[in-house]
Amino acid sequence: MTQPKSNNRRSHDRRRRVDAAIVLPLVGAVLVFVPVLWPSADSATPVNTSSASIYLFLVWAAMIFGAVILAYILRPSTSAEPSDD
Amino acid sequence: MARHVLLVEDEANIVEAIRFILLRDGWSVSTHSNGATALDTIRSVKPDVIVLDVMLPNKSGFDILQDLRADPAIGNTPVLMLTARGQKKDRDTAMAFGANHFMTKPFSNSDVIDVITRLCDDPT
Amino acid sequence: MISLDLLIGLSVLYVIFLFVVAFLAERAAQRGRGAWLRSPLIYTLSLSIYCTAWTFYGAVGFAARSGLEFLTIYLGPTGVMIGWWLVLRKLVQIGRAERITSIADLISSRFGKSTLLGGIVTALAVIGTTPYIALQLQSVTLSLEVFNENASANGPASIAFWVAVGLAVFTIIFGTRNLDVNERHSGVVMAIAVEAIVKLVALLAVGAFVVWGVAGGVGNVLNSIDASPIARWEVSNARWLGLTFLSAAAFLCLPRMFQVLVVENSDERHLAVAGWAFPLYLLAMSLFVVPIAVIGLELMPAGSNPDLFVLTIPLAFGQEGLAMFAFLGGFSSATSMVIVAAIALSTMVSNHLVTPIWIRATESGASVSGDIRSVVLLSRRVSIAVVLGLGYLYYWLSGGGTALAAIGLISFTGMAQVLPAMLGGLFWRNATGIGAAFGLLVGFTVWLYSLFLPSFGPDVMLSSDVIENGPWGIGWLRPQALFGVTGLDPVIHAVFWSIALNAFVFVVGSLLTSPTPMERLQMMQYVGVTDLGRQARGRVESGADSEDLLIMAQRILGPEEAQFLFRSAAAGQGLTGYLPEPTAEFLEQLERSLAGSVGSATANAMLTQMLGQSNVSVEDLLAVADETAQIMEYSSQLELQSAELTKTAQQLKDANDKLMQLSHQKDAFLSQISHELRTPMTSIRAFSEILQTAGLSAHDQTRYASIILEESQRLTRLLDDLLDLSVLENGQVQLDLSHVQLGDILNRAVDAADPEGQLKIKRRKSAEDKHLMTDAGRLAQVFINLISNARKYCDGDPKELTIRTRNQGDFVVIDFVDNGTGISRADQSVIFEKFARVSDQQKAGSAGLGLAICKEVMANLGGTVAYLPGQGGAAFRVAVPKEYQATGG
Repeated sequence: MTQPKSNNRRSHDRRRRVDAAIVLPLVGAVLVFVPVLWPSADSATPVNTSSASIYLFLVWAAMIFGAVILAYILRPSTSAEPSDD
Repeated sequence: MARHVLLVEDEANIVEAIRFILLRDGWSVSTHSNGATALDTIRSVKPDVIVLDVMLPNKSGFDILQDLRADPAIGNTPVLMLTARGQKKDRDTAMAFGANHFMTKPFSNSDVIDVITRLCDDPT
Repeated sequence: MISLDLLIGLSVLYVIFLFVVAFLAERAAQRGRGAWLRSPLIYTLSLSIYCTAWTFYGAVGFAARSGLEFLTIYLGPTGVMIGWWLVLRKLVQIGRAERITSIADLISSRFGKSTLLGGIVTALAVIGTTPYIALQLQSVTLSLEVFNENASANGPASIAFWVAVGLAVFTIIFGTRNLDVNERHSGVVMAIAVEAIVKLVALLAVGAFVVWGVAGGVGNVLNSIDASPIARWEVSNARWLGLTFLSAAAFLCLPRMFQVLVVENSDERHLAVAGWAFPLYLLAMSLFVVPIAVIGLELMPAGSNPDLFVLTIPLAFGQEGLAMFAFLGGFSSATSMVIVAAIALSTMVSNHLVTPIWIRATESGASVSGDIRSVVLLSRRVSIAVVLGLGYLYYWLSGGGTALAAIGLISFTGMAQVLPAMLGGLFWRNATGIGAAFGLLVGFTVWLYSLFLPSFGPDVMLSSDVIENGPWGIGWLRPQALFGVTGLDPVIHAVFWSIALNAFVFVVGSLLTSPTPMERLQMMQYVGVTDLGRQARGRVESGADSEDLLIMAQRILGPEEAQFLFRSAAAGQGLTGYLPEPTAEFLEQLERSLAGSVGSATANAMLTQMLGQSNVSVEDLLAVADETAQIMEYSSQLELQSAELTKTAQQLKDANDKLMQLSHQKDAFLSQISHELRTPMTSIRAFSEILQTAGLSAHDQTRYASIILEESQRLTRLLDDLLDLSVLENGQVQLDLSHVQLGDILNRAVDAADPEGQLKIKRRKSAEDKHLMTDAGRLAQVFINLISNARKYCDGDPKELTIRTRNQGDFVVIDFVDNGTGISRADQSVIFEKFARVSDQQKAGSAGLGLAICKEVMANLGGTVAYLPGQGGAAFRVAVPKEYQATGG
């Protein structure tokens, strides 16, 4: 049985999920663009390609993980969306 | 001279039956089966009595009757209507359009002869 | 040494394998067993055509030259996929709702179904993609040369030539089989999914071999990296940001990516899975790129081409099997890209260049008189050949010199010009077609001038003087340093100026012009207010004849699909048969279906033509409705409520009408029964009385007795029919199920219905070899009825009846088409009613229950029988399930 309150609650949950869907690519973009702030190659403390690789692949994997979670939390509400049909 | 009956009916077997009993009774008979051209035949044959079926191809017996009554040259010809539908509504329609008599199929042969004879002698 | 013949043989075998995969997938889809073909996994794998030979070979070369910069090419699409909720979801929704066939169609459709915009985007796509196809052909040739320097003995051009021919054949066979995009290219998509796996596994295998087989573990590889020429992070900030943006834009705009992302998408929810699975695929593809590059630089002789390390390293270590596998991986990458690109481009060329021109050329009534379907199919096939031919020509002319990555980026930048119009179209209400057209043209021109033409090198397309000093010595117009911006990487420079000017002109142009009414309507479909827009839009209901529409739709969609569409629309309106009322909703639905085949602009033009409305008058009407539409946007709630009320009132009225109709039907039925029973009774009674009287000749006696007999039989038949109908209608019928051949039943029916051979019956016995599990007697009864009707009523001379049979899903469909004048529109709706008789009764000699019984029999058998309009003569279609299934217990 649905309580009168749960409707509000559901739409609130839904908005939070949608917010997560928007935030994830933004956070990903910030992390991917971090190398722009790294010192240049001719500076005193250049960044090694090996560490750079590890950093970028970790960020990448984290984004994929985030997308898996996103797919999980968005799945039910996507199918229940009234505008679907 | 034998009196003349025009039989407007599209079921061949029924035509044959009525024709047979009329001829046997001494009438002269012509037949017609198409609703659309029935009036033309009536005008040229000028029968003493018309036996008119309701369900005819192309034009219904009611319509023929209505047009017949509107034509002064043949408008007084007595008409016996036949129908197989047998609803009261049909009888009322026929009488309203000016049929002199109305019979439901199937009929008794002697009734047909009686009615036609009566109509011919005294249309009222 | 691996011989060239072996490699070519391997490639041919591989292609044959793909043919088989595509064929099997296509067949499974046709039989309705293709559910797994439309899984999110296949969708994700099909996206992998993003990774072409450029990725497979070129990424290593890219890394060897510029270190980690190559990652930008994968991080851009990763961003797009991870943010699928923001842009892709909307793109896919609109693509499905509007039946979008290509990126050109999207832009054209959004801006008022503009033919001009469709043409511009198509031209841009062809120019932008041709070098990319050349690149794929080059990569196949180069990789063959690695195994055998003599590979080019008969000319590298000849290898590229045969590759192009083979791909054209494959694409034509599987890419243009059906016209409607809704029947997606299951075969092609499946083949591409297989290729996705082949190339991934091949690259991972080479990577694993390099890391563990050659370098001796991850630690050693990391050390090698830090000792290599690319040990330091030295990616320019501009390139890191610019290339990531560029690859993201290209991912959305490349014709082939649009094809797999949007057009082939069968379910919006697949995006959620692809949103993480495709980035994972990209990550796996890039994981070993740096190790392979570094080990190659360390161990291979100086001057070896790093673009080919993937092949040369295994070969140098004697791993010929692995090298061949890697070759197949590269071959896969190249072929899958070319196939999808060719399909996407051919769709665009035929829908946005050929068909509009063709329609204009055959001005009067093209939609009705011409066979558009065959024109579209032919133009698609020719386009595929032309696109591949252009790719080959480019390869042959350029001689295949430039580094692989360069061509890829040039192509990306060209297609990215569509991005402003696309995003503006999706999210900005005030975007106009004129703005988009000018933006595209400006962006495209800047791209040509600052990147594409200089890419051929000095003095080929542009003189070195122009490149160094600008045209007429104007320094600010130097192609690679526009407005004095020097010192920027040429690609980034071109991306910056082309996209910036493009977007600027698009925005300013949109603000200076106002959208046409048509554009406003389309805007509502695209920018968020979809449901309201749907109500506001619509054609004026007109006197359009559904039968004409059906004839046209059959030409374009093919008879099966058109009939299905019309029939379901009719069913939706509560009508039986194939001809729905031409309401605004139906016309809109029809237009969308047609748009799936010929593009939205063309579909719109054709329907407009059919309905006898000139474009001008529709627009005028819409202009009048324009202000109203604006008010409507703000009073959505009101609108919905009143719609609800109207609907309820309509339902009540419908119910009332239905009751009235039923009552009338009952009266009419009783009256009819009475007539049908009394007529034979009349003859029987009259002749019985006659026979009772004396004095008849023996001849007359026999004759009258036989009339009585004949009429009694007629009476019996009628009673039998009535009884049969009553049993059938109440569903009390006992079916005598058995396994039978359709051909046998038809033979039986023909013998019974036309024993004297008055009809010339055309059949194809081979097609009738179909197995059924049904009630053979009942089915034969239906066939006998239909054949007898043709014999009695067909007015062709000589009378001909064509019986066609074919499979349709779980059903067998049998069409009976005669060569008479057919049945008029008015009569089509009543022939299946009891006692309905169309022509004169004498000839019929039956009570008019035949088709009513047929209808009930078919309902009992789980099938249907319906009148099929638009076939020339009278035509009936019987659909019977292959396996009878009891319904409702």
